[in-house]
Amino acid sequence: MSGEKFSRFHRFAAWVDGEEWCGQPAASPAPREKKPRPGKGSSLDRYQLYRRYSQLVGAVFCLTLFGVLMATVLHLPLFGSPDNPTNNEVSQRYIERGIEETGAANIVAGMILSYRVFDTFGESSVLFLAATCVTILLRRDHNNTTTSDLEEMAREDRSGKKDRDMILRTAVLILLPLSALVGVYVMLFGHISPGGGFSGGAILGGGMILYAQTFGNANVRRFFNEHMYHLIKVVCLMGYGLFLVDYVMTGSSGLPGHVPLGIPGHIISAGIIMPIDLLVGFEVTCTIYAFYALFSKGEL
Amino acid sequence: MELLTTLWIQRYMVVSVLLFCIGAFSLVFNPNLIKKLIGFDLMDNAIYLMLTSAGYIDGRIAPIVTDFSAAPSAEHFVNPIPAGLVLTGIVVSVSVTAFALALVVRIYQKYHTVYLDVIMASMKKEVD
Amino acid sequence: MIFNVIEVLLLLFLVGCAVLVVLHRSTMITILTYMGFSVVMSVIWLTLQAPDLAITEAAVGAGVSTVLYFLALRKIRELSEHCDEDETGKEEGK
Repeated sequence: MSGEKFSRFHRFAAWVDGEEWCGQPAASPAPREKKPRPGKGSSLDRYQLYRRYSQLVGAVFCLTLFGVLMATVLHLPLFGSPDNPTNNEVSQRYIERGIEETGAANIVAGMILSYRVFDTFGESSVLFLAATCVTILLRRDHNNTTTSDLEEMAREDRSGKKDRDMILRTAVLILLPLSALVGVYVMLFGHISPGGGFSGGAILGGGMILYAQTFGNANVRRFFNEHMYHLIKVVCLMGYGLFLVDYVMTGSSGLPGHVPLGIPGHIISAGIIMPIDLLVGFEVTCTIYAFYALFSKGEL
Repeated sequence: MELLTTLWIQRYMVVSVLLFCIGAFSLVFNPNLIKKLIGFDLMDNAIYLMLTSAGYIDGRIAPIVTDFSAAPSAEHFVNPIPAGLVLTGIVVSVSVTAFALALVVRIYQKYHTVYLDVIMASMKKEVD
Repeated sequence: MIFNVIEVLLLLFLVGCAVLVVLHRSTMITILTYMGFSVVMSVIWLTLQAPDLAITEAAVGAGVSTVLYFLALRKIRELSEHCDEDETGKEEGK
C-alpha cells in the first residue's frame, strides 16, 4: 500500500481502520532512530533552535495576548454590580416567571431544560457523537491488535484476579452504593436542588468505573454488556428527542401544554424536566463508562 | 490607585485572563500533545470563570427558589443564564477532551511518541 | 473580609496550579495538578453562587477527565516497553 496509489482520504480511512499501522510495519518509524540525539548533525540544531526560540516566541505571544485582554478587562462592566448589561430583562423574566411557566424550583434547570431545551438536546448529541468517535478510533478489532497487546491484557487479567486488595475491595463495596445513591439522587432532584442529568450521570459513571477497576470488566459485563449499552444510549436519546418534539409542538412559547406542571418543590413536578434529567443521566452514565472501557480495554 | 481598585474589583476577570494566557502558551508551545490538551482545558476553564463572574451580583444568592408563597423577585437571585451556558460548555469540553485523547492514542500507535516535533519529523520523512 | 482573603487564596491557587501544569516536566504530575485545579475550581463556583456548576465540575473535572487522562497516559506508555526508558531519558536530558 503506497502513498501514491491512494488519495489522502483513502489513507485517512485506512488509518481510522488501523490498516496502515499494521499493514506496513516497516514504514512505521522506530522510535529510537527518530528521536533527535545530542551531537547528530543538523536535525539536532533545528531541534534545539525550536526548543529555545519556541519558548521565547511563546512568551512574547502570550504577553501580547495578556496585554490586549487586560486592557479589555479594564473597560468591562464591573464585577458584582446589579446594573451590568448581562442582567437584563431576559434573566429577570426567567427568574420571575420561571416557576409559573416551567414548575422547576431550580431556575437554572428550568432554563436549560425548558426554555432552552433544544440547546441541551444538541449537547446530548455532542456527547453521543464523541462516544461514537471514540468507539471508531479505539475499538479493538483484528486490524489494530497485536499479539503483544493480547498477552499484556491476559497478564493484567491474571494479576487482577490474583491479588485483589482486601482494603480496596471493602472500601469500594462501601462506597459503591453511596455513589449510586448520590448519582440517582442528583438526577431525580435536578429540578429542585443543584444538579441535573449530566452531573448525576457523571457520578453514577464514576461509580461504575470504580467497580470495573476493582472487580474487573468481566463482572460489569454481567449486568452491562455492549448490547445493553447500545440499547440504553439509543433509547435515552430517542426518548429525549420525542419529549422535545412533544414539548416544542404543544407546550413551549406560551402555548398551553398538556404535561401538568405539578406543585413546585415536589419531586413529581416541573413537567418534562425530571424525565429528561433521568434520560440524560443514563445516557451520560453509559457514555462515561464507554469512554473508560474503550480507553482501558478497547471493548465494552 | 484607580487602576489598582479596578483590577481588585475585576479580580475574577484578571485571573481568567491569566489562566487563558497560560493555557494558550501551553497549547501552542508545548511539544507534548497531552500537555497541549491540558492547556486547552485550562483555556476552557478560564472562559467559564469569566462567563460565570459576569453573571454574579454582590449579595444575592444562587437561583434556587425555596419560598413558594410569593412569586420570586429578580432582586434576590444572581443571573442564571451564564450558569446554564457554562453547564452546556462543560459537557462539550469533556466530549472534546475524550475525542482528542483518543486521537492522541491513535497517533501514538502510529508514531510511537507524543512529542509533536518528533511526529513532524517522521511525517516529513514519510512524505519524502 | 475573611471571605475576601479566602477568595484571593483560591484564585492564587488556581494560577499557581496553571503555572505548574505548564512548567512541570512530568506528565503524571501535570495531570494530578490539573485535578487539584478542578477541585478548587468547583469551590470557586460555590463562591460565585453557581452550585450546579460546582457539582458538575467536581464530578467531571476532578473525576472523569482525570481518569481519562490517566488511561490515555497508561496506554501511551505501555504499548511498547522500550519507550518508557526513552521518556525518562528525554526528561532527564532536558
